[in-house]
Amino acid sequence: MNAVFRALVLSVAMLSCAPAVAQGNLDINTPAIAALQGSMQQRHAQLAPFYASGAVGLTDRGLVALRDANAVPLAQRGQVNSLVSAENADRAALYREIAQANGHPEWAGDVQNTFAQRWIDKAPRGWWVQRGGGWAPK
Amino acid sequence: MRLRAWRWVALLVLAVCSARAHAGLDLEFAELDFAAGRAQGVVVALPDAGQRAGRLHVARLQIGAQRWGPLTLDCATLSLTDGIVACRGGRLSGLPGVGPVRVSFSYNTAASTGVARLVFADGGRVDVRLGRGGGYRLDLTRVALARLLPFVPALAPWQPAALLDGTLRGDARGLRVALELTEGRFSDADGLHAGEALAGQLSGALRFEPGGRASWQAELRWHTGDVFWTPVLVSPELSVRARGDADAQHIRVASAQLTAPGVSGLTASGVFTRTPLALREGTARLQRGELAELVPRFVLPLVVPAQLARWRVAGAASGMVRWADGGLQSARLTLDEAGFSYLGQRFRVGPMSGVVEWARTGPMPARLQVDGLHWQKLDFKPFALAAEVHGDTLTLAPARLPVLDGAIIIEALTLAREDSAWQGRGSFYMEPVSMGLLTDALDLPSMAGTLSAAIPGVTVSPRRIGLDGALVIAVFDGYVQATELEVTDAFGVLPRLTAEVEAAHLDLRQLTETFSFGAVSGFVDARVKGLEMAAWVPVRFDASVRSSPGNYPRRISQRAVEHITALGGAGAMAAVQRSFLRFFNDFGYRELGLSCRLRNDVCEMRGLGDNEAPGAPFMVVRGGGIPALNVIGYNRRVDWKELVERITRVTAGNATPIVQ
Repeated sequence: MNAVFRALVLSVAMLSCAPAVAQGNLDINTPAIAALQGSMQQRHAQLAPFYASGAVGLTDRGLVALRDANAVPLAQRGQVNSLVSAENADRAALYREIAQANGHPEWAGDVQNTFAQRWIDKAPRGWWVQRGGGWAPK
Repeated sequence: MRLRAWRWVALLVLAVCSARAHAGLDLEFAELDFAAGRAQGVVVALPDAGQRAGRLHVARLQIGAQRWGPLTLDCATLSLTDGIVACRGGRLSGLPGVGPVRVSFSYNTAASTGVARLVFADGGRVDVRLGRGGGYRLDLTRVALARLLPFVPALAPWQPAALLDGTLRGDARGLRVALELTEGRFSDADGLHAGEALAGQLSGALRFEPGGRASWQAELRWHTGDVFWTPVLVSPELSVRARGDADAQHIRVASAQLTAPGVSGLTASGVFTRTPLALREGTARLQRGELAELVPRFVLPLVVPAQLARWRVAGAASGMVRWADGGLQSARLTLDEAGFSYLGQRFRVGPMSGVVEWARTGPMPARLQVDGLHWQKLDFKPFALAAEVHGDTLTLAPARLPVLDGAIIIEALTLAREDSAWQGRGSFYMEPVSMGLLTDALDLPSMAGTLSAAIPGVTVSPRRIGLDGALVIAVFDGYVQATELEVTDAFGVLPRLTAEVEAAHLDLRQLTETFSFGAVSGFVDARVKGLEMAAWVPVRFDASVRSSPGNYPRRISQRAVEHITALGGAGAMAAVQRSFLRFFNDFGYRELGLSCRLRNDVCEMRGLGDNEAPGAPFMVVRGGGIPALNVIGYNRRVDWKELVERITRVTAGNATPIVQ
């Protein structure tokens, strides 16, 4: 699963980006970005089963969401909630940091949109993704 | 309601049969009204001669706001003998969501007594007994809660399920209930509010009193199963015991006690209006709550869901809240040896004890004795805080927070709720702290000097701390000053710090001795413009250091030269002949200067020249006197991490000099 995550991060980072950030470098690396990616990678092992079960899905805003808590054993729902919050905090910080590292903090929204699309494009079959506000398995 | 409906059915059959106990008779009623509702299209078919089977059919039945129909009760044996109506082998159908119900009953019309048994398809059973004097008793045996849902449609979205066992007894004086719930569960559509494997007991009594009043008492014990009420997971071992009275308009709770893990002595009282059901006034008191139990479970998931594991809480709290006139009127929170820590022991506050009070009517005092404040390796001495709480505003009285041989003096600090977020403004300054003590406490190389600060304006919000003013460190006979200091997301995923830093007239001899860099005499000025740190690591700045103007001795030791060249890596060299180097311990210089522009983890370096060509060698130390020494750098782009590692190695005293 970590391999899946690494492939996702790399492929997302290396793809060309939206026009607004066409001159930017999504593959840029700083200690902060590396720390965030490390944190996300570590968490991915815990989130992966919930992506696979459809309990957690990828939103069209480049975040993750607990879309079907019923698919999670009750005793784990608090933990999943915490994982989702932590993942979203990391993702939001990652988008800000990439924009910042490119010297354009105002690009954060565009970076987020670009990542949102690519996360969804690169998600394995069966994961739930949000398109046009609605959820569907990929 | 269910009981009354059943009694009505029985009485109806009785009335029909009593009117004319005649075989083969069909009686029809267009509409029958009774206390709780009405029945329309009622047909009673008594057995034909020589037959035993009979039927009761109701086209539409309305009880309260609920409507059903058509309902049919087919009895294998329907009889009227000696004033006793009896149905054997009955089958009630037509109740949606309930399924067929096997019904048997016997009713003595003269004595108004009787028994009935309802058996649901899943084996659940309700036994009803009507006694003399209007008394009744219902015994429930593994009755599925789902059977009752058609009667309480408001519960349907919660998809509740459970098995109920127990007894309900009543008469004209009141009723008593003792129910046991097992295999309980519920959930809303998205599963964010749900319970599973729930088990518990409910017991209670209601006693009717003159004047339309009633007194009541109830006890609820929840001993098994979990409830998830996003984002909080609540575990069992909870019990509530309450008593009070009620009339047509109000329900009064004279006393309620809640017992739960981490909670001792939680009591409440209050008055609810019945229509609509709402709290009119109430008071709740907590004698003692264990914060280590309650805060991680109920507070952290709401406040910092992404960082549950980073916070630890200890100590206890007690408190009181009073509600009236549709709003909170007053509250009191008392802390007893409370404390919290962030990321292990990196930041720790406590133990602290004190009282914070709030009242809608006016300002209230707050006081807190803080016996511990710990940041990194720095310990503050105990201090006291006093404040006034007025509405949504907390105003801190001037306070002194002693640390080492100095103190942080909070001159003013006001926290207020603005646009649904907390904002703070204030000012503080520092009584000078000895750098010797500070560096020792932080395990840094020992430095002489003092640290002080004058911050006339500080602004605080949940995500940002901004300082207007200067943090000044008087050190190495000069000073270092930080202005426009701003920290965002201090406790978040990626804390970010920005500042402008300026240093003047730092004595290089003290500085280089402190960091074991060799020996350099002279003074330097330095500037770090646009410093940005992420996760406390520099990510961007424009820094420069240059000899201070003035006349003073300027010498640089051979060891320092070696270290400077070591910092330059393989591309640096000392422009001095090796044959001379080994004969002198130190050299004269006229000026030294270096700048670093940090971008994308790369330090772009420049030297003393104002118009250095890109890629050209740059002079870091310009020699002067005898013997003279020039130090020239060749590598203008240095990896920041590599540079930091080299500095660490050099100051640790194990550098390998590169002198060409």
